[in-house]
Amino acid sequence: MNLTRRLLLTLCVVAIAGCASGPKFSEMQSKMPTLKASEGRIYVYRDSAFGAAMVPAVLVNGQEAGRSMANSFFYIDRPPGEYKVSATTEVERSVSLVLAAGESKFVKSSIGFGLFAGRPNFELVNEAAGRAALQSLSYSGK
Amino acid sequence: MQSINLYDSSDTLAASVADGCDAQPLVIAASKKTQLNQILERFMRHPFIEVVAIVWVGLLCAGCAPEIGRTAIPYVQNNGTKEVIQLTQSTTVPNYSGAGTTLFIGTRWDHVGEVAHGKVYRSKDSVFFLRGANTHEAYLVVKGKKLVGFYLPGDKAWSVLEPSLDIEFGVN
Repeated sequence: MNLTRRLLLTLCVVAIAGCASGPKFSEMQSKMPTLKASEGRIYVYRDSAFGAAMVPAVLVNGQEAGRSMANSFFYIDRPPGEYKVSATTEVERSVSLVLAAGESKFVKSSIGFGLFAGRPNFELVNEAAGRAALQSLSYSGK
Repeated sequence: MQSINLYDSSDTLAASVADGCDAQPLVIAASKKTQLNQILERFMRHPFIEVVAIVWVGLLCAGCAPEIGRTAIPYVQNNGTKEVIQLTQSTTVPNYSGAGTTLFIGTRWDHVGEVAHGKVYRSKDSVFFLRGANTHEAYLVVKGKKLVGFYLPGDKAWSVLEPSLDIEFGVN
């Protein structure tokens, strides 16, 4: 096997390793606990395979809540308040948001271009678009 | 006593390390160095290399938006009557997200509070955010018919918009 083939094979393995293999949102939905009245829910999802090899940890107010994996999502329930969702590769990027009781917030993560490695990006998405995007994604939460 | 000798002649690149014993010199063949140089030179002379470099630097710069300026500010929540405004004209806010952020005609905004600079309105139909180096959920701060800045609830901070913008809306 020449060097190019080995390199391609390695890239494929790394990319596949960065893809989530959990149950789809449609399968998960019925198993997901009902949101408590005193809490809100933050969904974090990544609906692109670009930069699949980059799987940064996603922190919510400094605590690891999951990983930003290609074509995957996870969620975290938290009391109302201010939250910073962040991830770090060669730089740290974050989104700051406020969460109300009974509210669901949707954070779309992606990987952009960087100097040496892809950089994480976050944007907020409205509920309708967020739920639509989740349908085809796999659960990567704990 | 340890001595390190590095030398580069036209034919060989060699490093020898002697620590008082009979150390063997490590020699890297000059042909390999020449090959590497040739590959590198050929690569640098490739007609597309400048285009690739420009695109790469451009993409890199696109990811280097400055952070949004903000200062902490007291916020008073509106617990009274919820006034809703509806934009009657689209407005593009420059200096955010590089290309600007557009507040679209027809979008509705709830009056949710006050800051010292004006009334605070949260998007009723969607979620509004500003993106610099990082992303911030944002509410509009309106004084009269002027958009004067943004309240960033996740940061409990105020971000001024200079110059302020005229904003056209009706009250529902």
